[in-house]
Amino acid sequence: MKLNKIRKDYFNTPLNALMTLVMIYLIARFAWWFLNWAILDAVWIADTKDQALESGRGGAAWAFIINKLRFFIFGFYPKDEIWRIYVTFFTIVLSFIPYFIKGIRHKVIIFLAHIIIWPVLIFAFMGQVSTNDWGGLSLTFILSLLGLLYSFPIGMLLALGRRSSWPIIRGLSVAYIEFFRGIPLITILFMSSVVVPFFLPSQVAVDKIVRVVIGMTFFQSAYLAEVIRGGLQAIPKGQYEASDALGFRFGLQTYLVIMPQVLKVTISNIGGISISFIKDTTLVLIIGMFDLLGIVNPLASDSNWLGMEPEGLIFAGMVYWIICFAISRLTSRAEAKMNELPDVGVIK
Amino acid sequence: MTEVIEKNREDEALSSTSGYIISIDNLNKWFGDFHVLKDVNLTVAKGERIVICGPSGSGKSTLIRCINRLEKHQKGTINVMGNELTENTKDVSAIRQEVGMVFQSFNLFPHLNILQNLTLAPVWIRKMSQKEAEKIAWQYLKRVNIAEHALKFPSQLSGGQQQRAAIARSLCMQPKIMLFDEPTSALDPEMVNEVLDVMVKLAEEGMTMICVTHEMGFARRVADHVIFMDEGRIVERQVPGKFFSNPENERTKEFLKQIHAIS
Repeated sequence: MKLNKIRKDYFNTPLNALMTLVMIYLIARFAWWFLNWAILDAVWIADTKDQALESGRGGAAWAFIINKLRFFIFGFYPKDEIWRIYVTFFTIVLSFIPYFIKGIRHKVIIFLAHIIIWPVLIFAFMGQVSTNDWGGLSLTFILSLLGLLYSFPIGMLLALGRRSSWPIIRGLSVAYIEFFRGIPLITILFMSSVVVPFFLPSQVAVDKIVRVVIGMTFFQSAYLAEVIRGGLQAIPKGQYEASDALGFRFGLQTYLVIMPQVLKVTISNIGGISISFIKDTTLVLIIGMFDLLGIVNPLASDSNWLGMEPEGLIFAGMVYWIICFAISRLTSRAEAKMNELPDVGVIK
Repeated sequence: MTEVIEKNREDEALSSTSGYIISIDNLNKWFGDFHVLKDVNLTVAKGERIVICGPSGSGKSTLIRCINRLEKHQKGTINVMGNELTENTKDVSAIRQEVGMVFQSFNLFPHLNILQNLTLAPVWIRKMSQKEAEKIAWQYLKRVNIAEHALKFPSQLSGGQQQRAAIARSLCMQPKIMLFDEPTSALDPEMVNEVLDVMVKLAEEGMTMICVTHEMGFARRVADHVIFMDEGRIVERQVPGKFFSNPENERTKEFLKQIHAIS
């Protein structure tokens, strides 16, 4: 049956059959070439580009990545201080554990704790080294984590504000959302890195990364607000009325009745825009920060490894893909889990 | 505990001075240009059971929704347990806690199971301990005959079961007044009785109830007074015997004739 379908879809006329064969040939050709370049002919161990060229058969010089792996991950963070990054990220990962403990009823408290603990950890602890030396994958993670962490609550408040019955709050929320959705992220990054310091008094020096995180949070929260507003609109009026009638006031109503349902309907959208946000963090290379993508250029300017951009870019792309794919899988699993109804029989 | 006792004393004092737990005086409400409620006067004594009926669009639902201020009125006064509902009423929520409401479309919280639906408000608003709230919840779940489904989610229950759970949810707040807004209209016919049975039991226990419903059998059986509304006015208020056998108003007669023609 499957064979029939293939025949019908791809070989129904002589021209189509020919096209199919040509395409198969081209794809196979490219795949074979790429396989050779990326794996079969690749050079994994070498100290310089010249060494790699001598020993290799024209394949990819992954030795470059392996040699520079430290920089891809930690940027120009001094070798002796890298333990600070390990400790920071290890603690951040550990701080997710409370979410999975069954007994804790108010997960929002954990979230509030993160809002305070993460930046302190990052800027007080990792910040012992000048942020100019930060870079690589760890910088990408920091920008993404902090940006998402802050844009969530702000986005929620904006979404609620946009539906407020107070004209001032509604107006301000609409203005904020439409302003930040209307300008490109690059503009915001330029503003935060160049224009803002210009207007600040010279004694007030706000770190560049802090400014970038703030700018990105502004941007991302406006988008999140729109996603959450969509979710709010999907909640039937009866849910508000039923909770009103039980005596809930706005705050508890939102926290206990409305938001849980909103998160449930918006989780795949939130996952989606979180992914595009993580990819957007690469734009910081334009203002001279060396995140995972941005660090490819300086590393490929090393006189030992000139012209290694293709390997570097492919590697960075692969890492981004892995991160984004993981998040995509995670959100769809979370969504499935949220929609799963327990199989509870009749209890006696 | 002492607070509760004091509160009860207050309530008693209130109802004994005014005599009525709800008194509505000259109530007028507009939706835009549409005049929904016209000079409505209504008093309800403690423990009284009132059934409101009337053609659709006559303002019956709007009237009871005004009582817990899900709708705001523009003219007249509504007094619930000694508190007047006005624009300045500081804490509508405090009044709503004492006035349970059951909706046509159940409106259970879909993200919580039935037991959680029942304990949410007692725990967060009455500040009960989870344990105590669950104890009370189980009592009501048994009374509405749904305890065996306590851990299911609303979408796993039939309409009748959902509505009984919704009634139990309101009762868990231990309200002084229960409002029913067409509680059986959205149900399949075979599920109507299981919900009505719960309501009858509640009425027999002496709960103050105002029910908007077309279930005339229910009205005949439990109502102290039946009210007929038409075009935003209360046209007639009668004890059920007289209401069904010998209504005074022409429009009431017309309406009853139509209802009898159906059933």
